[in-house]
Amino acid sequence: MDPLLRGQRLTIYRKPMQDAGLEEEFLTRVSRA
Amino acid sequence: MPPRIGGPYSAGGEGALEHPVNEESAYRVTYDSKANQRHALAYHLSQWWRWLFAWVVFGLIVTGLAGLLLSMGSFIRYPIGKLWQFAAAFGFALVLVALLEYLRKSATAADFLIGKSWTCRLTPEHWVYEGDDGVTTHIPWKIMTIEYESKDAWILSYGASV
Repeated sequence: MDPLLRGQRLTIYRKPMQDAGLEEEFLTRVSRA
Repeated sequence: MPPRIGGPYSAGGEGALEHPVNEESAYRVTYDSKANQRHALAYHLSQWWRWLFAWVVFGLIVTGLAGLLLSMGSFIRYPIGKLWQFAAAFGFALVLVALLEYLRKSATAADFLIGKSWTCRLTPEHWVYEGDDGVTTHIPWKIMTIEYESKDAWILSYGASV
């Protein structure tokens, strides 16, 4: 998470999510530009 | 005191109450300076065409100014040949240093977060993160969009950018 990103944007790390086995679910739910 | 993992006492509006905590979808994140640096560098490299455009515009401006300087030099008969070479080298070095400094600052801008951790959670309606101070933020899936992804992280936008 990077609060210095401009506007309503943030950085989300992939590895912790992958380690928790949640990356696929996350990608299913979020839209991709 | 270990951070709370959600619960009915989490702030965040109705969503937190509608979708009680699913412990299996919670995970911990610790700020990773190295991952941030790799991600920032990958992002800037992906924007190479913007850098190229800026470089071309900068080059045109410098060329114009150099032409003006040369015409003035010929008018006043001042030997500016060596001066021009020095100015070009100095200008190039200046731009290079500024570029490297920009990249360094961009990659380390969030390093004040070193040592910080968050609990993140996926609910049916939101992606949620909670800091160790207990402040919880809920971001609805329907307004989240991945703008950029690298092997380390995603940049997501949610709602209107300012």
